[in-house]
Amino acid sequence: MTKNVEVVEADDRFEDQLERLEDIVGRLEDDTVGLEQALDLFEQGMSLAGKCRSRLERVEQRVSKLLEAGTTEEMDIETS
Amino acid sequence: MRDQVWTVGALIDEVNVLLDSGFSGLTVEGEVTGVSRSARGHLYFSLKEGEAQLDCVAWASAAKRFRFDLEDGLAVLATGSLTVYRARGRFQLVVTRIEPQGLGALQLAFEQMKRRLEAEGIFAVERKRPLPSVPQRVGIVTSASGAALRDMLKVLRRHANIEIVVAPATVQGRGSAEEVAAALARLGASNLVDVVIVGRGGGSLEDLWTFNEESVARAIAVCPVPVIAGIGHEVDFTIADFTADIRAATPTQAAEIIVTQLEESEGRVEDARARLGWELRRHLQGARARLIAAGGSAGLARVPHRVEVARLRLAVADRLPELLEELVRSAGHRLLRAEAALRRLPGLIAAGGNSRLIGSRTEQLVTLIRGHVDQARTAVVSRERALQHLSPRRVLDRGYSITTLEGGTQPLKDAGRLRGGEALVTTLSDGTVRSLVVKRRDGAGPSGRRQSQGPTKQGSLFDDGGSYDEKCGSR
Repeated sequence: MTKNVEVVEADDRFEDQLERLEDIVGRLEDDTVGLEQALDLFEQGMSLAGKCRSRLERVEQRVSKLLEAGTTEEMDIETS
Repeated sequence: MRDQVWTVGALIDEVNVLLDSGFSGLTVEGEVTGVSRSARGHLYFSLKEGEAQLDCVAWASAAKRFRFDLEDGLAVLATGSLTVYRARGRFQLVVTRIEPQGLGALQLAFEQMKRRLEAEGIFAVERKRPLPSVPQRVGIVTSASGAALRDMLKVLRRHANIEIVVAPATVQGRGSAEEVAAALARLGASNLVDVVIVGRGGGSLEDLWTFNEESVARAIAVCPVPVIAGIGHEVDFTIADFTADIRAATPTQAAEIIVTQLEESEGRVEDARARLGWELRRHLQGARARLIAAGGSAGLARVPHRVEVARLRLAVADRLPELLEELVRSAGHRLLRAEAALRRLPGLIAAGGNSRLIGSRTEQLVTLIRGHVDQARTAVVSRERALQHLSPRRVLDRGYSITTLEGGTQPLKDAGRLRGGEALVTTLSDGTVRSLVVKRRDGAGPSGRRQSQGPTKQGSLFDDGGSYDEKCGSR
């Protein structure tokens, strides 16, 4: 169960980062932000976007079968 | 027989023989009342009709096969044999089968289960967990050989970043509910998945019965990750549907819910990225416009500010190759995905020629993008050069000078404040000159109050744009 809590937390971090990213975009939309600060925001935003993106690409397509013992093995199923 | 003296036991046994020959396998219609269950699982109740009442018993072996719970007031058809209970001498119907009147047994059982679990709060909205933002690792509980699995995989495989773990289970017939429950528990405990789909293709109420079993409902309720139910068709509602965190109309739709969620999260990230770039460009353009508006005649005093702006612009330009390379990488990913998708389309791509076509398109694209990266690099280098031209040192090299009051730090802009005899220090490219003010002449500048050193000529020096050297030829 504790392990599953970690999964939920990892997801919270994504959501959290995405919200911070969207917040930064919102602040960048403000015309009164100076150029230097705009660059800072841009940089922070790009870094967050990079993190979000790598989180989304964390796993690759794969189909496996969960065995009784709790281990997995590759599963080959044609869907076309 | 009349003269015979019976023992009680013998009489009852004899009556039972008679009853057995004439009153076995009969069906009685009546309303259930006074239901009680013994510790051993035997079921005692009565059937009544008006004033008439008949004791009934269902032995545990028969009672456990009843699909619904006996409840007082239920109208039923009970099938069994009449006997006299030896220990009490009471007449009773030993029930082996029972059917509700009106509703089918299954329908009734469904309604009863639903009512019971609902009262327990298992379907409560507050218990429903939302789908995670990134449901990438998907567990599936279904039959390994069913069409439902194929349907779900077909949808999930449209997305490149989904990992699927199938926990196979029989989804129909004896023992299937236990298998489904066990598969759910195994997936939940595996820590391999973010979300679980419980799926099954369409079928009759009887076929889908597994998903109305309490053990399945309980397994769904305690699953540590959210569960999506995709069982049967749109019109089929099972207990599992009510218990699950999310109910999908079909297995295919369950898979689509996941793909849609992932695409939405990706969309939000990409959208934010695009807006970052757009907003930054807007800020740069704004700064540029302000610069031009402030421009020209402000002269050397503006230099530090303008160098600063140019430095910022260079910082952005600096990142361009990096950004473009990332673009190349992500375009590469997309291309691979698109290629994989194309290959999967049956019959559409007849191997040979077309895959060569894809290969050559890929190369074209990569060449094109590389070209962009090179261009960006060239742009950075030329920005660097422009920046060097803006350095005050270089300006001095080209013959301009900066004059301050002796002991002062601010460049002198107004002749108006000068007095005859004041000492000035003029900085040239290779040293400084100290001089004294002899006479002041006012009103030579364009605004009538600026220093008369020729601002109209000098003004063009810092106009925005490329070639500073050309514009500076007028000294």
